[in-house]
Amino acid sequence: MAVTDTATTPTAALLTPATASDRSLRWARTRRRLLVWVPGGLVALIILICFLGPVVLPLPKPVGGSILESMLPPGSPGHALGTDVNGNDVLSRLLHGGRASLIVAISVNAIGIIVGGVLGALSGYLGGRADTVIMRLLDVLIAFPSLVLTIAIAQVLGPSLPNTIIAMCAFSIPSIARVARSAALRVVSMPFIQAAELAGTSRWRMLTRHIAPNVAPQLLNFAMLGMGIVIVTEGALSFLGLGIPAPAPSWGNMIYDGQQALTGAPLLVLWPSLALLVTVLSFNLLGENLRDEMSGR
Amino acid sequence: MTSETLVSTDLPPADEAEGVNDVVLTVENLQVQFQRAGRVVHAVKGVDFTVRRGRTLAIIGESGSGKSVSVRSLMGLLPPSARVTGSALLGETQLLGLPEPEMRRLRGKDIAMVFQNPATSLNPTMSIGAQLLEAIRMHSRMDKQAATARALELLALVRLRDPEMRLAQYPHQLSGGMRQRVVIAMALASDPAVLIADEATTALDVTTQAAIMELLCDLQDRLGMAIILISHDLALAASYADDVMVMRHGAVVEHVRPELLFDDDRQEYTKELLGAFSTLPTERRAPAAAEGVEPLLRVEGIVQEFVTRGAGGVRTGIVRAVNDVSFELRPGTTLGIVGETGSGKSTVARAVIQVERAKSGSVVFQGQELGALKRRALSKVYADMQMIYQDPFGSLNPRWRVSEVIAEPLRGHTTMTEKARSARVDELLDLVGLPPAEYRSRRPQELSGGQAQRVAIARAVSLEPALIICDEATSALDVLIQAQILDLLVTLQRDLGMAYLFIGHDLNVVRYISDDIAVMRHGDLVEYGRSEDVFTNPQHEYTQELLAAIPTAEPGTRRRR
Amino acid sequence: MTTATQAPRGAPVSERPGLAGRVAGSPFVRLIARRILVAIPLLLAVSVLVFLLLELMPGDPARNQAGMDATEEEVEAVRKSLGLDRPWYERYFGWLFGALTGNFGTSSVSGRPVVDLLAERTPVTVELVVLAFIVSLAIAIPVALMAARKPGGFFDRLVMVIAMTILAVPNFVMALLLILVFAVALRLLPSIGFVPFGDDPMGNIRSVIMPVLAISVPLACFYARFLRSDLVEQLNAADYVDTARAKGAGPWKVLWGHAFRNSSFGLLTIVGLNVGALVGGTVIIEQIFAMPGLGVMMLDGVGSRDIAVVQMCVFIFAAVAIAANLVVDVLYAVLDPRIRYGSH
Repeated sequence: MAVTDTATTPTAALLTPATASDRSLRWARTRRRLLVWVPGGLVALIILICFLGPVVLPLPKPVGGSILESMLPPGSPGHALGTDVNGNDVLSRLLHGGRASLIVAISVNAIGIIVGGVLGALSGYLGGRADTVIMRLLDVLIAFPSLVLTIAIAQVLGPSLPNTIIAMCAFSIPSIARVARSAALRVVSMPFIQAAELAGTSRWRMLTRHIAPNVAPQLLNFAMLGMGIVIVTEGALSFLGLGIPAPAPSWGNMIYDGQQALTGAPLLVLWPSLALLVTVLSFNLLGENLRDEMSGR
Repeated sequence: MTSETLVSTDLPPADEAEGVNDVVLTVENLQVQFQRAGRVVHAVKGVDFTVRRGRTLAIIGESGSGKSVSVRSLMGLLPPSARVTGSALLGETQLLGLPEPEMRRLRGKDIAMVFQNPATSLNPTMSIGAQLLEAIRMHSRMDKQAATARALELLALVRLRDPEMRLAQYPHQLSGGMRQRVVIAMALASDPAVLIADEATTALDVTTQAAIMELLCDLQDRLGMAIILISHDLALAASYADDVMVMRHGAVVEHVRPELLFDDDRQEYTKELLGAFSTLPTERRAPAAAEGVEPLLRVEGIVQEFVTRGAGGVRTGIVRAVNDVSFELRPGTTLGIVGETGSGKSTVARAVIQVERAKSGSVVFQGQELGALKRRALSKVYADMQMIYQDPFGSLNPRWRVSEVIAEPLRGHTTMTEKARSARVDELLDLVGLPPAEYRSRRPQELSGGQAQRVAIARAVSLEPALIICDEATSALDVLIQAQILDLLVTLQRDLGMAYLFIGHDLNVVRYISDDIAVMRHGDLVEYGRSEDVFTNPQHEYTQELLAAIPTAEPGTRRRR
Repeated sequence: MTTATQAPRGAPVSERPGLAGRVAGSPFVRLIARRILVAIPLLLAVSVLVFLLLELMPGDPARNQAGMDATEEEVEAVRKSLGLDRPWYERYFGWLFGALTGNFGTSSVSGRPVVDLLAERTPVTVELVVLAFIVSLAIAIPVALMAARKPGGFFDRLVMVIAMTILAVPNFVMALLLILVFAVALRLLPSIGFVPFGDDPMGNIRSVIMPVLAISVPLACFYARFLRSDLVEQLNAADYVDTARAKGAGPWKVLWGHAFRNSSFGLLTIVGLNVGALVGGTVIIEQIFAMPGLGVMMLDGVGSRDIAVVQMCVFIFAAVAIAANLVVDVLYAVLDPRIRYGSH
């Protein structure tokens, strides 16, 4: 005859909802939702605009403008935000540049999570020799200041979009691997892993059903916060002429070009800067609030 | 007050041969409410008590009873979202609603508090001396020299050896008992009228607990302060208090003198708390039935050593955690291994299950030497050897559902179909007292501690193994839930015939479930025999010490009167 | 059955100090020695990577130096003189040996020894980095403390929002904005150029303010956010905070005297982890403000394929980052009593 558990919930005190508190309850919940959905919506909007905008809107091409049309102010016919020093449409360059930056950011993080995440999680799970070897190798890469390493690699490979992605993976993979490893180590020390061993769970199942699901949230969160960093680093690279090669637009090289006209037409620097700011801020807010949501649950 | 709050009318007489002047604290109709996620939680629903000079009031309850919240409200240490009403008069001063700056003047000076966890109650980055001096100089104008002298005085008062050395040391260099003495010294620095001990001995070993309680009694004799003792252990209260108040769900259930605790007209709840482990379960069958059978598990000469590492992984030495331990376990019986922290009992369990292979010695299970087996072969053995862990939530994957958790051993060790597994899971849930329809799809976060442990038990029992190792399996649960889980384990043993290796630090709990007992201390096995023999006639002096340290529910056994 | 053997608890069965232990007994010294021993192979590995990486750079330094119209023989002669005809591992060891003896090679563009260039450029970068480091903490710590004083209060929320926004601004953008405001609009500060301290202290400060701010302000925001959240966590959850309050300690005492002492370790860790950001930031900031420092030297070298220069600069940046982490570890060992004194 089995004994039935009498305790139903951990907290035993009586709960009495009061009317005034209902309002604060609803506000608290709405606020939490807003904090995730607003930046999330912004991110989605930015992605949408940058990827679909040039397809949908009748914009002039981002390159090959004529010098005769240079430095037109915003609001000029056919150029909603004006033109830059080379005569190219600013809005068009902004959108195409955004697309390039986002492609780089998404690719770098995706590769980072897949390669770095697997590497780090495996390293943490296997432990021992394998762990030491992998970590020592990654340590060499992490030892470099990220920008310096990226510059060095970009220089070797030459400026182009794919090369920029490769150059930045050199620091995203090790840093994500590190996070994955420490998360995996934490998971491995939990009793349920031992219980799984006792249950005869295969190594493969351990990794896929136990380790991965408990490591993934932290990875995704780290990658989300890393989006901002990657976008900024790509901007810096392009600013230095080592990233997306001119004349193809990137927010970074737009800022560099705009530098020349800083005194006369500061807007040329401000538009891409604003784009950078809003995008990075949205990603950061989204990442932070997603993390709070998930850990608060 | 709701219908739950049936206050016993047996309050201690107001001023029997003690002057009314002796009352230092009077609390009337104390109520505390919290705002939590938009709802109002009534944590304390109208509590009254008085505390006298030189007397101890014990407030006993399980978690969620409101005992801690009550005393914290007296100190003004509740979060800003708390609403406190009622009256708490400390002498002439009304504590409730006192503005913060004035409350600060009182804290530590007239009313002081000692908290539960000595490991974290002291600031790890400040020396003992610095923290002690801070307490002393908070409410006095002593210069450094005078304060240091006072600090040494206090450390001597709490019977800490080598006080000068302690001043320069840091918390991590002291043991739990020593740290708690320091915390008491800090609390007494300004000679408070009331000392509140909030589960101050719960995190300590039972022998250390006895020592600290002795110290508190002695200090009370010498300094005359009133003590409010918060605990979940009714026996502790009975031994040391002058006045016992039992709380449940925020209300007072019982308020009597300890002598009257065993009377028949006590509340049901009180009787339950008192009797949790005092009667042996009637369903335990006689161990004699298993006499003469080949032992299921034979452990011989286990030795385990660990490398101690200091700063940054630098090797500083070797500690022998288990020193030549041997025992046997017959099928269908329970061997309890009991010991305090550092005794090596958990290490033994891990050595048996081969998670940490022992340095030397043999572990023979069902005739096989486990130490010689490789991973594959060992895995097959696990179909007959399972484990239940201390942390009920840590042993369940937070992302899995209950049904998946329980089915895991079925997946790993059998070739049952999905359907068969599902049916078995339902069977098992019934067995452990969790209705399948309600529980199979839940996740661990949706379970209470007791329910989570039942799930862990269901998983362990799924293959009807010959041996289940329970590593402090009930230590993280409330007293009454512990009793329920132990009863469940006993019932399952009777029905399924498994043997248990039960590791624990609580002698009452271990005695309740074990046929044989092994007592460990500092890595050695100091006593080994039939459970009843060890308890009624302990041979080794350590066992005697352990038994003597357990608070019996006999009132006044420890008090100096 | 009773067993009477009693091994003393925790008595060391054997004590086998390693090499470092024999040199100097205390675990503390051993820790530092161990860290240094680990750092050295790391540095070597880094140097190999740097060397190899730049060997792969396109372009021919011999031709660069010989000039566009040089004949094949002339280019070969230059190649020989630069030692570029030897296999890479020979060149690597030559380079390594040279580095250890103070000969860092010769710039293929200017022809001057790299070590001279380093001597000229390093002080500028050092000044920027050190000032940025100090300023970032000088801003972050007080701000975080004040924010943590009343968590959720107006100041706290305001400051955290501002910090979050500034963090989203890349440091080179911030640099340009600073120039726009202070140099162009207000004409208060020079937009480019560096004035050595020895020449003109006031001028030096004026030329250095904006670059230092551009590097340090985003970092300060990052540190402030972290420190504030760590402090609040300590205040809410740590038991020793309860004890301190129960003693009668006021909010500032609890915050500064107790919580900050513990949070400072977390801060130390992040500062260490972000040395890369600090150092990497100087590269791009120097470029914008035309400061004659190591960063600009590296970028110029990158542009002109001056391998020797780039190798040295990249290696130095990495070495500084490694050294900084070493310092952080040592500081931990010194400041954290749990590490310094170990367990009894």
